[in-house]
Amino acid sequence: MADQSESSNTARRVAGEEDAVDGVRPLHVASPTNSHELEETFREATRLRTHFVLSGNRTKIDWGLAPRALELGVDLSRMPVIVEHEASDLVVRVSTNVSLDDLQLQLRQKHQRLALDTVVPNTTIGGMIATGLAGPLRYGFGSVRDLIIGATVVRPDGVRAATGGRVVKNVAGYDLAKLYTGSYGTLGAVTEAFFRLHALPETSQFLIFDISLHDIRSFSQLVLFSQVAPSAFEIRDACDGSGIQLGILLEGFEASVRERTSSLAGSLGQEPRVLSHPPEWWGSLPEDTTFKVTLEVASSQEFMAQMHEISGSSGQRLLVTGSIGSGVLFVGASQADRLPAEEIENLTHQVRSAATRAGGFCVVLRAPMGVRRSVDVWGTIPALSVMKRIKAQFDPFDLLAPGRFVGGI
Amino acid sequence: MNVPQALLDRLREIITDDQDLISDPALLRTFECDGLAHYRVTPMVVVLPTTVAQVSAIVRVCHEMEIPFVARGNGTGLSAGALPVGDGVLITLSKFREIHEIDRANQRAVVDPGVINLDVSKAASAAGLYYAPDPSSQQICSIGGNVAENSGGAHCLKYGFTTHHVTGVEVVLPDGEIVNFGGYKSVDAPGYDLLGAFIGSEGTLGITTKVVVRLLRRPELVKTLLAGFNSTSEAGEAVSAIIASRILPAAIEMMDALAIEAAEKTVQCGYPEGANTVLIVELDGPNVDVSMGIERVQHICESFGATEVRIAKSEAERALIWKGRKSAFAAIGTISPDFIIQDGVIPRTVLPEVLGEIAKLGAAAGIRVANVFHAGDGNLHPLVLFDESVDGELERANAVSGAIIDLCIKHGGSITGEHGVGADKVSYMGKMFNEYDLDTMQLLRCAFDRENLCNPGKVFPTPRLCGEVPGHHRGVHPLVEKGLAELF
Ligand SMILES: Cc1cc2nc3c(=O)[nH]c(=O)nc-3n(C[C@H](O)[C@H](O)[C@H](O)COP(=O)(O)OP(=O)(O)OC[C@H]3O[C@@H](n4cnc5c(N)ncnc54)[C@H](O)[C@@H]3O)c2cc1C
Repeated sequence: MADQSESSNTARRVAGEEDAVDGVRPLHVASPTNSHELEETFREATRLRTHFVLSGNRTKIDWGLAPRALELGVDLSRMPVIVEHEASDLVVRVSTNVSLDDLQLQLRQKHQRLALDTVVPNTTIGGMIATGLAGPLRYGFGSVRDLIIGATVVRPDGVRAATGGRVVKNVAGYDLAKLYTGSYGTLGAVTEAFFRLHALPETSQFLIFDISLHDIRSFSQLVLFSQVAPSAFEIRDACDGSGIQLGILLEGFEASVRERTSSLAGSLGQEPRVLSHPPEWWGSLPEDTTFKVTLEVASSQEFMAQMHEISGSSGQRLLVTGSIGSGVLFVGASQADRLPAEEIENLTHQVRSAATRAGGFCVVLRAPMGVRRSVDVWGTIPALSVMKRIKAQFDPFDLLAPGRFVGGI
Repeated sequence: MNVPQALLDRLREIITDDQDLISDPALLRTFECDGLAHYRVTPMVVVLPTTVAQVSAIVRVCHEMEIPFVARGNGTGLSAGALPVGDGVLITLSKFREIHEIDRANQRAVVDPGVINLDVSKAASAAGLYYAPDPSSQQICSIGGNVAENSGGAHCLKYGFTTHHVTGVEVVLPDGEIVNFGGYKSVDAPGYDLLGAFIGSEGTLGITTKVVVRLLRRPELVKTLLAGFNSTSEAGEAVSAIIASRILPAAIEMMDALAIEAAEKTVQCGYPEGANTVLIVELDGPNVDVSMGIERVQHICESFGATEVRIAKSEAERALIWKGRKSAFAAIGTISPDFIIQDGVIPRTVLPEVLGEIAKLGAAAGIRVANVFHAGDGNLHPLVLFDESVDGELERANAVSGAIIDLCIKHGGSITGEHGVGADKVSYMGKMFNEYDLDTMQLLRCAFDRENLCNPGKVFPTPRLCGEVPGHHRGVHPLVEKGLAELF
């Protein structure tokens, strides 16, 4: 079925149902196999004013909103695979079609890691950068934007450009790698990235504390002000009165982890369950409809109390997970897709106002199409006018993933 | 440069206190340079606003009258980033001095851009917290300047740079609009990471009028080790071995013989007798980790030929070790009448090789180079020594200094690790990045400052005309032309 377009050698095929992006099916799918073909594909798309959307392993392809228009899918999975691990410099150069798990396997051979978690199974580096999604380790090491030190991007007009570099410390020019991180593929394709790495710890230990709602504030303040230097500080709460779990990851020398465990148990006045492997809920998103909520860390108790209230009153079961230490939580509503549209709207409104009161934001991270169509996925975005001007500079004809991102970008 | 009366009139409406609007040529001269004093331009007028509304109004006037403007913090920058424009307005933020809030529970501080870096930590200390980025200039530089430069410090090896410690900024855009980037006290605000793009943009995307910073818990234990070596390459290998041993020190600093000599002369820091190179390694964190880690570091230093290893036993001993390092730039003045402070980055692993090459460059030109640097992250600060009164020395020193930056680029590093590009390094940008890279960065600039009025002439060798969109066809859509599509 592959046909060759007139001016490029990039493999193209007629799109099928499986190529739909959020219900919108492109006419064709191009699968460039090198940067030159990718640039040519973009240039051609711009010349012909073709609307296009990028995809990797398609694990998060239905996040954000459906594209307003789509003629061409660009599949990045057949691009060359590059992993250059500069172990003694603690950096890696990696092509974005590599899966995060595969990258970690390679880094592990030299006792190193990219200190980011696989939040969505099979995610590629590209998908992780596009969504900027980080898991539990963000408490100790920061998020994707904190660990990316350079990138190669291909702009919607086919121009390839590099930003940042392969050294951690570098302030030459604008930090476009951060701009591309979390941009949902609306500014171009990130084809390669450089990341700062960390050494694997000698030991890791997960401590699980069972607490109740009114202990959240005092417990979390004790952890935040403790000297145990956790690598992760997570919460899991099914909001059904079955109890709240706080998970703390301690890493380092074995003797130190032991000592810190007992010191933390002492100051929290509770013996934790100690696990050498993460509990099954660790770092995974709730199923189905998921809100991403950010908040000021000191407001987490009030926020959780509101989640309990909503959970009890609406007949909804909410499940909250996430980095309570960083103030980034995921609120899952498992039956949202069965609710009538106005109740979903109402639920979104309630979670969002709780987030706003807690000094943060709430976006619908993922949800069945029906849910996303009936709610305001992104909410009110500050400085939106600046974002729109950026989009207009990078993609003046609004061809790349139009309408997927905030404020119609 | 004569100030247009219309501009003065309009600025006077905004700034009513005469002292805060300077147009007297003699007074203007105070503002003609930053820490890189051989670049000098007298601005047309200097304003010292005290409120965001004033900053916004001033910028609006400049925007309307198409007059360039430059923000200035405390003028300690080392890349002529705050260099005024001759026919422009210099907006000094030094009167924005309030620390609005130390929010202990959220571990945040909300501060004005003119607040001195160290003052944030001082204000937070009662809460057991501190602000981690610690440039050597921390007693004099401003937080607004730090945000503009994405400043680092000795401890950024472990803790990162300004960009990792700022969660929100209030910005006056180049057209006068006031906006907020970031999540204020929360992280991960939705939409493009404008905060990440803004930090380190060297005052070219707008003026910072408020900053929310992260505060950290003071570490339980800090240990500082000083090791003397016979050569920089031995010390360099020790650094690599420390990093490979899975320890992440808070800081690893290195000084070579010439830098040690200058420091000893000035502050008598008592570094190991006869050492050709010293390493300062500092570990911080939980007790056991630090105690075990420092033993490992000691062992590594010894096995790589350290002639002497000392671990500070008291705060006084620790302070003395750091005093030598922190005085190094100033101390160079005792061994040379003039010097250039260079700032470049190389991958840590090529450290010994590059130091060898720098020595050769210096020897060939008859110019001495002292080396002081953040060895842990490969950030070199070679000090190129010369005597301006000797004919041709300045030129030779400049040539050596430039060649060092070429070395950094050749080895895959960066032309600047923390001092920024400013006006000083614009000509190197084209060596590190190609025209497409620079063009893409300037797309961002065009989204903020179409008219190129906000700190013009900095960072980029040539401004981009924001109207032009390369590679794009204007006129009738090709598909429409072919009858394949309709416009609607
Ligand atoms: C002895 C010495 C040691 C130093 N050590 C270090 C070090 O260890 N690490 C390091 O990173 N730097 C170091 N520096 C460089 C310098 O201190 C930093 O770059 C600092 O951040 C500059 O702050 P400032 O307030 O002096 O800014 P200025 O020099 O006034 O301005 C610097 C840049 O910031 C812009 N700017 C200032 N305020 C604002 C604002 N409110 N809004 C928008 N733009 C603004 C200016 O336009 C300019 O481009 C050192 C300098 C000296 C003199």
